[in-house]
Amino acid sequence: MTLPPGKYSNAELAWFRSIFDQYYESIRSFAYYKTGDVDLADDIVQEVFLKLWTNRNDVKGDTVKSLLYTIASNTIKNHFKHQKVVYNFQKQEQSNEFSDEADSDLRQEELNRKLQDALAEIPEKSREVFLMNRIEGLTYSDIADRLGLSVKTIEKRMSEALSILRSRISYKI
Amino acid sequence: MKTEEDNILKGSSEDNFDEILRISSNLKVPASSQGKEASWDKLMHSIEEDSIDEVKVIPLLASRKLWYSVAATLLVLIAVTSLTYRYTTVEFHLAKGQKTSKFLPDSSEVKLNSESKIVYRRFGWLSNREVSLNGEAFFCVKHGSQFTITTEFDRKVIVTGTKFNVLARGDHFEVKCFDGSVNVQISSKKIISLTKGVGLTINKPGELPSQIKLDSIAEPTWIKGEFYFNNISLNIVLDELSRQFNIAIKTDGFAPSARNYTGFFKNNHLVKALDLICIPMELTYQISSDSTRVIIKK
Repeated sequence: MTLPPGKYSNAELAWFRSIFDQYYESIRSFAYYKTGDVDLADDIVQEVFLKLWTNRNDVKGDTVKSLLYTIASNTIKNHFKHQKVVYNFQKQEQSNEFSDEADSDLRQEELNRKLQDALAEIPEKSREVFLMNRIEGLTYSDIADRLGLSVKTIEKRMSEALSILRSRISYKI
Repeated sequence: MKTEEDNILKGSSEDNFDEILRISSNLKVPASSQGKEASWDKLMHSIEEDSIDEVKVIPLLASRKLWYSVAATLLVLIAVTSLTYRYTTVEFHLAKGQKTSKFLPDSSEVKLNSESKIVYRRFGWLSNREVSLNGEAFFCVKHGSQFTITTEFDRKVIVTGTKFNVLARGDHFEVKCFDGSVNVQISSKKIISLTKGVGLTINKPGELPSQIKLDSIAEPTWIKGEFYFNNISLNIVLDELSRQFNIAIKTDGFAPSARNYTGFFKNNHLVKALDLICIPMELTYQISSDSTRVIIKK
């Protein structure tokens, strides 16, 4: 880690690095939930952390988390034209204990595709809540914290996401 | 049949949904093409550039640009305003010892006494028939022409086509009507009409005007270089003397404003003029070798 010259202390840099370590993946994921574009997500991560750095003197410890998400939301809103997202989530490596059928892999693949298309149909705000919960395993209260919303709102969005998913996923597979 | 199908559908739907949820938990955001450490390095690079360029240079540049544009705008405004003023107003300013005759845009003639200034608009004369005067001038107004002469203390002479003399020097204000009639506005409420052979004089602001009777002459005597005074404050007389001969006058041992003078002088001979004033007032005088300064003593 190089230490570029400038008007800031090592303590500031150390603090920044710890925030980066803590939230890099989450913010990148969040940007991906919103845009469905990996490269865009990388760019957004850059912008978000740069803005955090620029405003580092105004940031108080416990507001960092929600501030990062707010900056991310605003950056995406302001800079990137809203497009229909096309997800390309990867599957986590796992021992497939559910595959008790021969055509399981194929079936899973199809379901997976269906799911990702259906996800794109969920309104953005509910979708990101759903994905934060499902993919990152964040609790409702943690999500509420990060987005600066109430747990009630998270619950509402979660249930909206679920009901849309339910209606979009066909049983005829 | 129908309910059975419903149940099957529902059951299979629930199964699917559970599976969907399971799958969704196992999804993963695709890996970044650059990776976390590369992302951090890029951030550090940007921060470095920021701390050098953005934080120091860019805001300064922006504010400098702003100031440059403000300054440029002001300069243009000042230039345009002064050019407009310069080219649309006409100003005659006579120095001491000078005398001249000018014509206004309506071809009325103005004879200016020494150390006098008139300003009027070159353009827009029709919409703004106003001549500002500081000093003394004799107006021979073209018949039927109308305009207003403004002087200090908001005193105005409203012209209705006549010959008249206006004197406005500091506190001293005097209008003499030589032909026709003229209206003099002393204050916003008080207008005095003067007819041929009548004049008015005000020595101090706020003082009531006193009337003057003119001898039956066609024009003020100053035009011929003769200056008559009838019980006039000596400092006014000395001012006129200084004006006509372009000399600096110093007084010593007495207050000219406290004494009044009655008499006359001509502006063609300094010694004669000084004698005419000083002898009756029991004053003595000295003229400097280059004839630019005079000291008057008691």
